[in-house]
Amino acid sequence: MTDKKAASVKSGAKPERDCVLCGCCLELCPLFLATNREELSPRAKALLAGPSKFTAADLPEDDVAALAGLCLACGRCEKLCPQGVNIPRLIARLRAEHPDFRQWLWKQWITKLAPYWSLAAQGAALVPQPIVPAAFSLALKGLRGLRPSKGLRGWLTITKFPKDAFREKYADRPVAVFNGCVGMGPRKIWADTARALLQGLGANLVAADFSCCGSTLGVAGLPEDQAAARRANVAAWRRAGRPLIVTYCATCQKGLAEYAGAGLFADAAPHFDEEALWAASVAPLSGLLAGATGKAGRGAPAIIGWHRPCHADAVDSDFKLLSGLLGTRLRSPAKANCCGFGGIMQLAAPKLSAQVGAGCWAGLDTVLGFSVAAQVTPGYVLTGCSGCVMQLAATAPAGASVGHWLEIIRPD
Amino acid sequence: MTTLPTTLITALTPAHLRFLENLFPGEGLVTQPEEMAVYGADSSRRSAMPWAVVRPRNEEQIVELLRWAEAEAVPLVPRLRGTGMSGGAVPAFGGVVVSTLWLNRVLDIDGDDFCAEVEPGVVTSEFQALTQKQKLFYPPDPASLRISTLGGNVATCAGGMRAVKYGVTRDYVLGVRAVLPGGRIVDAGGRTHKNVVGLDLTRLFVGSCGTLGIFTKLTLKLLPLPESSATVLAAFGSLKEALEGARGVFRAGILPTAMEFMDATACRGIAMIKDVPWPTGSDGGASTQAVLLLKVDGSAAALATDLARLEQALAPAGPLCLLKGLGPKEEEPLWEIRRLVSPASFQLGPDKMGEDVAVPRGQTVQAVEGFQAIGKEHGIHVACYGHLGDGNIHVNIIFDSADPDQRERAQKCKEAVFRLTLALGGTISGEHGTGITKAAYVSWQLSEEERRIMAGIKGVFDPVGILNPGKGWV
Repeated sequence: MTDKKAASVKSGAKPERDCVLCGCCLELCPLFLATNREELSPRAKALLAGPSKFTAADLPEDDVAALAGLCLACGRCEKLCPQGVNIPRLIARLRAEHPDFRQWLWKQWITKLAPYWSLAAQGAALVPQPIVPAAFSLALKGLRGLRPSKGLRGWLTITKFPKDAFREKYADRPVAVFNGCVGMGPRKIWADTARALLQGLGANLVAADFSCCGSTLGVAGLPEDQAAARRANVAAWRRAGRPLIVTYCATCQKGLAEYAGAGLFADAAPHFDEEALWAASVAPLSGLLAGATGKAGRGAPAIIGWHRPCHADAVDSDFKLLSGLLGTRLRSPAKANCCGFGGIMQLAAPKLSAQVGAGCWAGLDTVLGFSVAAQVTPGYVLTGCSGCVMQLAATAPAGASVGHWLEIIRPD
Repeated sequence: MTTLPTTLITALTPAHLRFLENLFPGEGLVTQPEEMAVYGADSSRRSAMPWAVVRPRNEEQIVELLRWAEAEAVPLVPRLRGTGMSGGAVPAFGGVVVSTLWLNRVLDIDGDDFCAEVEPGVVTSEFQALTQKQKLFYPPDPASLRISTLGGNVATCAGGMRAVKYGVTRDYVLGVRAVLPGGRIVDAGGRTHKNVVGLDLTRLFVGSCGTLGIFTKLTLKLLPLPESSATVLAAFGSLKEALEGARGVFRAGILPTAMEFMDATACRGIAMIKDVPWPTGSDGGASTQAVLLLKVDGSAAALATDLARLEQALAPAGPLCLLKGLGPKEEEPLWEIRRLVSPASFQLGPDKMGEDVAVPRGQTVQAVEGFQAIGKEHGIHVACYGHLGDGNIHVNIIFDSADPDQRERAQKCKEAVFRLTLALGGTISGEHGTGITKAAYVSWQLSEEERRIMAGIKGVFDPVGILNPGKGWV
């Protein structure tokens, strides 16, 4: 309880109280909006399993956990809740208390199979077929979308880097790139481009052997695996001389920021606030590039869609940078729709996940209009989160291109 | 005490479930308790387990359902988003919940007829955004507009802050298409803004809490969209001064779009979760005892003059501070404060009874002072805020239900509030409806004869009494 309180105070979150069934969360829950099924809403989850005094009846716990577990962990309801109820955290706890086959699958997917993702993305057999259950189909489709040949071609040259601002803030401080599961594997080009951009800023780059950020494991109800991944990353950071940690995936950024307040720095030397140093060290690449100018070359699409990840940071650094670089070319739907990835959801409920994905593409279509004339203006969508890229690739309409914004940057 | 028709069945048989399975294939029928639970609760924080939940995709299914339900005497509880405040959507007396959220198309928005046709599941704010694109305006704005539906708004005759100038939901419903028990279809009203042929069945449906029929289409009236708006927030050292200020505005001949107020208890609750712009007395100076929030709308050219007139009209009452906002961007932070009142009230205690009494507009001062005195007398936090302009006052009785003594005092408080309201010529519910939370008090306001007439009307629509039994005014 104390930990939870400390964490919520640190992140500036509202203290958690009982759900009062007001329904404010219904406004933005992507799963509810895509289905209009109330049992999938955050309010239903709080009623069944949350800090609510209004539980309708004593229901079989396993059934409750299975239903409540259908959550994309996008975190929108938490921001809307006047009572500060945190549904993703509630669901992570529930999933941890009720382990099942799907979680086991997800664990295999992230911890055991990630090294094979590049192979799968290239179309090679991932693992012997009998071990690949049908539930992986949507996730595999996402991976296939990550094949190098499916990547976007670069067309934007950075003409001016905000070197002075960077130097003023960080001087010679060592800088390490946090690559995450996708940048480490199937889309190494992200890692290469990120390094090139940091060189352009004049950063003092160092190597650090980071692993998965762990957030998707935590959400899936695998707290021990999450803790192991987190500990490994803190150790890697220390070994690298506590550098600035630069991220280019919104979910990694959020996941790493949440290390503060999770009790990972208890072994720090006395009088050394290592936790505060960590918190101040996690920075999105796009934020460091703020103020950069660029020039669009051949192959630049006339209209570009922006998919805002649910886990985008509070100042929306990626969108700010891109709209500065691309101007009116960049269009974002007024109502940001969740892509429906939801980590474990892609395996646990691929049908629901794809249903939310379809709603997301419909929203993008309102600003891109690709459904009207797919030949003339094929859908072209950028985003800033590994999970979103995988899910959008898995659910994209024919002819549409999807990529991380790093892919449009032309290497010099 | 609520009396229910004794002819209704008390549980579904396997044959009933088979019928529902056939009529609502796949995800259209829900029978798992964990999936049904949320369909038995609403924002009144009451809950009961439905017997089953059905989700029709079209009107034909609803016709079949109501034909069967009447023949089999199966109670039905219509539902949309379940954001009502009085338990109208809670199947407190059993029954099959009918969720019409899947009927959610906007069929037509017509700038020449100034009307729109929608299905009941359309979310109010989304509909408003669509009308605004065509420079049209659907004024009703219940606080829940981002999460509630037009069907739910019509079933409860939802009010809102703009009611003082533009009226409530009822004033914008031109027509209702509904399926009645037995599977009959009624097309009340239509696309004309005037219509005096026959009795006004449309109005009967508005605010009927799902007791007369299940809506499948609504025809709504639209206005031209005002060009812009402006807002004034004024803080006062006493409630009397604030209400004097409000009177001054009306006397000056200004009809504001909204006129909201918050009393000292409400202001204190907000100050606990947010930095407030008014003097709190922390610097030794005067402390705010009441806040007025006014909005005017119209042409951009006229608004600057209107703001000056408002300021002038408020001046004699001696506001402690006065903040102005011109255009939505500047206004938003001021209205954000108002929207926080209801959630902020939970800062003062874990439980509340949110009453929404209304009194004749001239009686507002007496009413609010009376409610505050009732709170003091019973030793209970009573926060008053709301729609001062139209006499609709939200009275939040805040307590801790874990303490039986407090619970009892809160209950006495609520009854005293109702008694005072009625004595002043008011009504026990201005916009939430009576549902189950106020059902027991309906007879305090409506005479036996009036209730007999209403029961007779209900009997014409629903002779077996299958629709939302035990709710509202019966």
